[in-house]
Amino acid sequence: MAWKFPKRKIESGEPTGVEDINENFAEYSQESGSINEHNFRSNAISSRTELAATAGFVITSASQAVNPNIVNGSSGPDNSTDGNNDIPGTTNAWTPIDDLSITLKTEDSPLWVLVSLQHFGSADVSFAISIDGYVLPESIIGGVTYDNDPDSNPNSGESPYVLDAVVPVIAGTHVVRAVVKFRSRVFSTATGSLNAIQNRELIVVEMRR
Amino acid sequence: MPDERNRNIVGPLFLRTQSDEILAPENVAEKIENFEITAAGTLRSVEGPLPFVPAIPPGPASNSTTTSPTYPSYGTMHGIFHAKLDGGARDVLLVHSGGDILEFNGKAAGTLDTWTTLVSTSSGLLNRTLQDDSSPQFPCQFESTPRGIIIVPQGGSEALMYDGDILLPLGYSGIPPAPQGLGPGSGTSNDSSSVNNTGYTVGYYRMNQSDQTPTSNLQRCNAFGDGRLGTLQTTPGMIAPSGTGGTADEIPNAGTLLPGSYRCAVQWINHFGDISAQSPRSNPITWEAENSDVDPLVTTVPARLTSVLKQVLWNSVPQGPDGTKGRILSRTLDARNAETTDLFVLTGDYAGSTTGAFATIPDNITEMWADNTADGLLFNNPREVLPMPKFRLCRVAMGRLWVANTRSDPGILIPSYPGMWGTLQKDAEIFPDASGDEITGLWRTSGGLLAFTAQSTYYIEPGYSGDQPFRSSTLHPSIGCVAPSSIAEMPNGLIVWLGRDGFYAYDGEKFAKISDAIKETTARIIKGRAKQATAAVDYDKGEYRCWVAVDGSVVNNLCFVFDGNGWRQRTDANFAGVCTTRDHRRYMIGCGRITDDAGTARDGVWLLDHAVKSFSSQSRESRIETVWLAGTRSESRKSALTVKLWLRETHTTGTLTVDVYRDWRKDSPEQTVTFELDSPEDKPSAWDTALLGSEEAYWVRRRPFWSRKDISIPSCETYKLIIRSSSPIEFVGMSIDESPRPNAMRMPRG
Repeated sequence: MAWKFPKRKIESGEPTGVEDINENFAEYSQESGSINEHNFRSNAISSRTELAATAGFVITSASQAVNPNIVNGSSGPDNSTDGNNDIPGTTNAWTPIDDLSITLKTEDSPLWVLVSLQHFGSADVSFAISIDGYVLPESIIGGVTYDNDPDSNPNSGESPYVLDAVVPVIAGTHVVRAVVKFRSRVFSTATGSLNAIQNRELIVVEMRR
Repeated sequence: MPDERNRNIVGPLFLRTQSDEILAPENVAEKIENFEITAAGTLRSVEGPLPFVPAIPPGPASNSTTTSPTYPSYGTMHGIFHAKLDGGARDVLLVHSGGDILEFNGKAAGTLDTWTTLVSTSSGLLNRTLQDDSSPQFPCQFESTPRGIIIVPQGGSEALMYDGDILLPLGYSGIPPAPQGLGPGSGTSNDSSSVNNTGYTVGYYRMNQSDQTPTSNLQRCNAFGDGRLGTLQTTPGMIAPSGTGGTADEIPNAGTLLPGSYRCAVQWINHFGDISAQSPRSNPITWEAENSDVDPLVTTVPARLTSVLKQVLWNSVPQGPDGTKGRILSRTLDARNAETTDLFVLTGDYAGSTTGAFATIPDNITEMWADNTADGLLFNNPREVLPMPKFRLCRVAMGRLWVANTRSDPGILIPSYPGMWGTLQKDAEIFPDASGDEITGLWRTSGGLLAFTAQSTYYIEPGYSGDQPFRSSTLHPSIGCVAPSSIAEMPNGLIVWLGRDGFYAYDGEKFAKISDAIKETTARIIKGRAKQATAAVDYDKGEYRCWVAVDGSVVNNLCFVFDGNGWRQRTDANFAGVCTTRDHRRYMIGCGRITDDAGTARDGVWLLDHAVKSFSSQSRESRIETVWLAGTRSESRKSALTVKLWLRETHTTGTLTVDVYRDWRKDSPEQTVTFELDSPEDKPSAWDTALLGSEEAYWVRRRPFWSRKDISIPSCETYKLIIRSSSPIEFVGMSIDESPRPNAMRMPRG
């Protein structure tokens, strides 16, 4: 515990008493070995870059909640009223999904990346995990193995999707994202504004041991 | 030559406590002001107080714009509290300053960014307008629970709860609106075909139908399976009607869905696990009788009786206010057929596997919930909860929070559910005073709770039956408490508080008035402001300290100190609130006003009994005033000849003054003598004069010494000494030499 104060204000002319000065020293010596987070001003440390040596798993997550606006019996869901919808537009390039980006500092360890999201719309889209700007082919849903895996085609009206990948990374800072793109073969007919990514979450588990 | 046989020695007197009584013994003082008892058993001038948040000193490095120390800005103080959270890992210091609730967050060098605003009119974690004036009222009340700190501002504001991160109103003061039930009878334009016979359809997204068009009744439950709501009656022996081409065999499993009715209600649950009162029940979802899905034309197919059961939709489930993290839905059983109309909590899924989940809907977004939970899967009744009222007092006891003195019922006392500090239990409220007199204090004690009115004390303990979960009994019919914040428990378990006419104590068995000896002093307490008294216990010294307003003051300007044996008083601080930190420091921290040595009155947060070089409060005297010595022997005259003080050396140049009064007259001293604060014959080494390394420089254990001064109070009935000094002094004892009628002059009597 911080915030200790001397007991006595020793003034000029007072006896050089051992009890008084020891009382003052005791206020501080009592804290030996007890320094903890209270010894630091709040927010004095903007981010924790080091963890305990025994830390096994470091879990980081990002998410966004979206009101689907399903109205009793009359309309919905729609993507027009909640600003947290991510409307990816009409590009067929990989585009980061809003709010699903995590920058983290890791050791040499595998990252288990998990993405879950709700897609609303009828256009064909693909989702994937990107690490440091590199899209992991094995993480792509929709397109790559379409011929063999037609059910992975995210073009049904409203569907939930889950992606995951385990990726070894070297020590350092890494950027993990979930990305989306329209598949080029249907791009000409896709109406981007009708597509939206609604509730979504990105979890990165650094497995240190 | 003086004859020592003609002298009487009064003393030695070891004055440690005070009394207002004329007949008080001589070893009791009439006043002991601004002294504390040391570990050595002496009286020593109190130190400090010091500003808990030091000023930024003037200077080019840290405070170049000012030439004087700069302190944080505070308003009029209304209360202070310290607690540890997170299992003791985090300590929290809160103050109610002006219209704000502030949290101490440490301090960076050279900045005043020391307090986080939790509550203010516009810039806090929570924006509320708190009462900020000097009208007589209870100090802001605080209570610590395992989930967080409960803050009860006075003046009609709602209570709050803070866990170190989240600040919310305590519990729910509002009641959720009822959800809307939609079922087979709730037709809409989106109903299609026969789907609505088995459950409600919601626009294009039908709950109970796949997207394929049903081709027969048997296909109408593809998406989610059969419904589970409703009451079935089997009909053995059902035969296909004649003339239909059937075989007239008995149809297995035939039966009827009986007419049914269901209603639902909702409760909010917030971050702290507190639950709102139950909403009104929804509209009933009803249906009429329906035969099982046997196609009478194909009697070889056994009936699927369960296919006529229903599922329903609870729509417009109300979202809760900020802090809500889920909604708990409760539903009736089939009201037309069940034997109870009670509500039962709906689990998160039909199988009841999430019975332990905190809410039916674990979010605060969803507004509809498809209900396909069979009656037989409902087990638990929802908690009956009272909406959280605005109240003035609270206390944790018996694992519950007890709130009292609500705006509408000053005499009411309501418990929360165990461990649910903001969820008040319905039908468990108590009026300890039969006439509903205002509750003015709460304190937990062994096995129960003490509830005070201004004139009585009650004991609340668990009752004997479920119908009476708690019962109240009168502990004392004529001793009460007027100030809730004056109640404190001393290290020996003695509970002390301020009553209408003084201080009282309760040791668990009997009551005692403990301030009879200082009746004249306690009579100075402003009765109209007694409710704002504030007290805490110094555990190191075992002292109960209570600040009250006396002599017409608006603020608490006098501190009564009770050490278990007697009383002293302090004037070093004007505190509106005081607390003792609940950690190893055991600091006594108060909020209020202190005047510094430059004469500037500063509102702030202050640490008692500690001092720093950077701050000096206004010069004050430490004062010991004897009773009228020889008062009980006043019928025979005597002369006071010598005052001998037993002191411990505290200063090599400071002095103390002894004023001597005679014969019950205290208007002006008869004589004044001055004593030095060390022994002139054997001076100790002193700071700033001892030369390091010289023979005269040595550490000392400050020594007691006797010092004597002659006085001359001839032929008096009684006399009084006032020992006072603005320098720190340490008083061990005193004695006075008297001579019985040393001269032959005839003195007027009476």
